[in-house]
Amino acid sequence: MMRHLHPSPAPPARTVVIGAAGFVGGAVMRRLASAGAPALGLTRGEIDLLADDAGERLEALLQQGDAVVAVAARAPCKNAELFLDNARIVRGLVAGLKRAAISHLVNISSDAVYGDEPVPLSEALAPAPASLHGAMHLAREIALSGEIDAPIAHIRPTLVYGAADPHNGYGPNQFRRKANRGEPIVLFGEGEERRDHVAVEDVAELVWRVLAHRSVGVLNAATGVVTSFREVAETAVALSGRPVEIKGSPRKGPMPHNGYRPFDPSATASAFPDFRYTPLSDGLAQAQAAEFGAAATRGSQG
Amino acid sequence: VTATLRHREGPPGEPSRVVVLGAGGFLGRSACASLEKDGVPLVALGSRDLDLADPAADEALAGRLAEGDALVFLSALTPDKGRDSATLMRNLAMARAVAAVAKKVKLAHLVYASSDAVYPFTEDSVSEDSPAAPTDLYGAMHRTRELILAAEAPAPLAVLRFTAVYGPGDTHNSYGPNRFVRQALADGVVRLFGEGEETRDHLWIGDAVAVLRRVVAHRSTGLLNVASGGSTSFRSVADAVAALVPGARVESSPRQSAVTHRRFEPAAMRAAFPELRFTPLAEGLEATVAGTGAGRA
Repeated sequence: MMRHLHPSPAPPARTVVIGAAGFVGGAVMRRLASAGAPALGLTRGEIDLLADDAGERLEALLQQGDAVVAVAARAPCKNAELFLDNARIVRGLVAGLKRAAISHLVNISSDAVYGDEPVPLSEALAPAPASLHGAMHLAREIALSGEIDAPIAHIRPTLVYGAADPHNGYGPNQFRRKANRGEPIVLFGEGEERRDHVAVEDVAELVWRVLAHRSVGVLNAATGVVTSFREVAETAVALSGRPVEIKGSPRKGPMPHNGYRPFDPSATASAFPDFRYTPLSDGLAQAQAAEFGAAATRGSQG
Repeated sequence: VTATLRHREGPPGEPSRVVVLGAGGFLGRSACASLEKDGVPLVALGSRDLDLADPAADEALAGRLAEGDALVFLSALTPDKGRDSATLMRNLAMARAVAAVAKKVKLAHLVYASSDAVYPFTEDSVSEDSPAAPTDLYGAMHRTRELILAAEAPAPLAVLRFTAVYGPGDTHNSYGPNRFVRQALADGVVRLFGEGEETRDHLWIGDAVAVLRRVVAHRSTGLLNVASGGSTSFRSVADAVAALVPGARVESSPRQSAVTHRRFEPAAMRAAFPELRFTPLAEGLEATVAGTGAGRA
């Protein structure tokens, strides 16, 4: 569901990453740096998108022809208050980006825009969000597409993991940290629900390719492989080299997404035929090495 | 929100008091008139009485509410008032205020007037089980408000997704029966986009109020699409309007956008209110012409 305005890669003169200090924003900055691509990272220090003058300030920071990666959001968006903050962020983004003559906008959205469907999730499905977080990202996509007159790509990552994750939510990042601290990992139920996990470096790689091809449209960042939380926990424990217990716990409600949320990754393959998603076990090993260095080689004596 | 409407057990009965937010709007005025006529204790609040988008609106609204009230939330800035992210913010601020007030004052019932804009246009008929996959900011706003109220307002909640409502007293003048009647009366020409091939459900204001009144009386909870179940092309509506206004004619124009259709599956409505009969379009249009013409005289 992507169309490349540059069939051969032609990276932008400069890329501005709004939300450069965040998990995905930071990975995008590192990818741009490794390509030697000119980049300006904006964090809350440079621009407060919640402020009333955010639009003017953003406009002043941009140059004609900039490509912009918009990552900044208050996530996860769990209530009306946070939704309003996110709507304010969108208003600031729109006000600033509308006036600046940018060449391309890459918006980091979320797979939460999709409801639960009887088929593997793909870009062809009409997003029917069942959560406020998903509704926020859908509204953000619609507002940006409707109000900004530049080629736009929306990237919808599924669950993102990596060494620098700041959220520490239930899943690979938390499991890895618990394992390395020698703390037991407590699963919801028996951790049987299967989800797709994408490495933050893969998301950054896709953003880089979308920038280079000046692609427009929608792309999910999801590997197409689902793994149970128990299996993720077992891998995290094995990589930590520590004898860590994995415990089940009684479920308090129904399994999110009925326990199974698979993706169809064929749009990624058709957009970028030579791109391969990092297999989860490799990605977890890389995150282990980046975050805990030699811990894995200590073996089980530690 | 579950995908069916459930009535409170026992026979219907009016609540001790109804508070209507958005009482100055098209639906609000008619609903308030109906409640007043039947002697239901009523507090009618419009945007002039209370700016629901104000950050302190929940405090102001709490002062107007009493425990046991049924709160009917009709207020929204519709697309004719703005389609941008600033409008989205004001609309969401209203939902935040309503959710916040429901935490302060124990409501007997909360009725939210959502919109069929939460559904995309499809060839298939729309039911309460159809995915709410909005394609514009207005639809996304209504879906978000539904989610906010369901998650944060501790009150028995009914979500009513209204299709386009027509009748005298309309405040929006959107493309469709209301505008056609005004055009026919003003200059004798009803102007179609393209040939008016799109089909839509057109809900008579009296029927919209009748559903709302029943939902309040049954203290119903859950989700209901509020539509007549019929589906008529804009061309047919325009022709019918022109036939009602002497000398009026219909003009088509080059088509600018794709033809879309909307039709509702009426099963849930029939199950919820089996005795309800919807006003035939011809009858409603006649009353609209009469009412709008009288308003102009």
